[in-house]
Amino acid sequence: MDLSVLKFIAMGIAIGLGVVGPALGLGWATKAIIESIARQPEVEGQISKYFYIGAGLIEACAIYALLVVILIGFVLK
Amino acid sequence: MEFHIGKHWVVNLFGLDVHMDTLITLWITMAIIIFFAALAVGKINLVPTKIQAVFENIVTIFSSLTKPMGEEGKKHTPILMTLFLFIITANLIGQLPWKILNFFPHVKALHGEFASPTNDINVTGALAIIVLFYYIISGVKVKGISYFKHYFQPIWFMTPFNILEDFVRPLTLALRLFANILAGEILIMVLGGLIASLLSPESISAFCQNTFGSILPSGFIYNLSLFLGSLLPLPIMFFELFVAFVQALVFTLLANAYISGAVAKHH
Repeated sequence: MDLSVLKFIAMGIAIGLGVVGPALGLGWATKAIIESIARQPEVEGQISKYFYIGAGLIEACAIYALLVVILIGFVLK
Repeated sequence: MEFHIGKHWVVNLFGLDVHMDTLITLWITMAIIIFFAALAVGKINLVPTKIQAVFENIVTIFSSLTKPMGEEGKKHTPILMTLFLFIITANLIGQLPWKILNFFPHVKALHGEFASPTNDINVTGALAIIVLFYYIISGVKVKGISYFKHYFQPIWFMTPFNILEDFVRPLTLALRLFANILAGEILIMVLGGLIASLLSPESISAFCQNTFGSILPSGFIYNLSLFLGSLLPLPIMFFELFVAFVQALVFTLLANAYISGAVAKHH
């Protein structure tokens, strides 16, 4: 097979599999914060800032996959 | 679609390759921060003026961040505040319409891409290395040579992992900030050019002939769809404002966690 075709396949697989974990993590984090706010609505202001920080950290994992895709596709020859 | 990532306007200064576009936006960032800082501390009143009240609030927030470190932790407030204000200004400056500069042919010929300075791994790497040296040095200042004892805890064979941690921490700090901002730039670039790359005047005129007959001029439809297509990255741009804040916050809080871990008495 042509090498450039393989490169595109590798990019697709890398981002597709790399995003699964962060997606699950973000889903669980959102579920947890919604449940805790539903149980105790008065803590929303205190805990939502930890959620944003955690979401930022989780999102970074998906961004690492994107970084690898960019490396495969555009930087490495 | 023309589309280049990580290309910079490289200028050779004194035998060093300098990314000139990053340098310019970096200096603009510093100028903004220094301007507002000078405005804030210029004339301190007992009854704060508006801008003084804003800055007093910022200082209060950051001094509450280092409160768990106790009285000694107060001296770490300035670096955390500097990191946060610098990173958030640098991130937000990338949302200015720098792409307009590409209309000037001799700016476009430089192959540079004016965006936020944190779009360049060299800037975020430098920030991360500053944090690394800062927490090691402040740990040594507090505990002396016994700071290095924590490499052998909890047991001797964990030493390689503890040493590896000092490499992984700045690496992830730098990569997280850099990649988040770069991904935002790429997303905006791709979405902004998507409609223009998919449409052509011929296809639009054929579409107009088939659907409307010749009621509407096809040039008008083409320009209208290009305009609507240029609005496509707008929601991503709003999201980027949020990401800029969150990444600055994450960087600052992680730096805070590393520093407070290094200076903690019982470890």
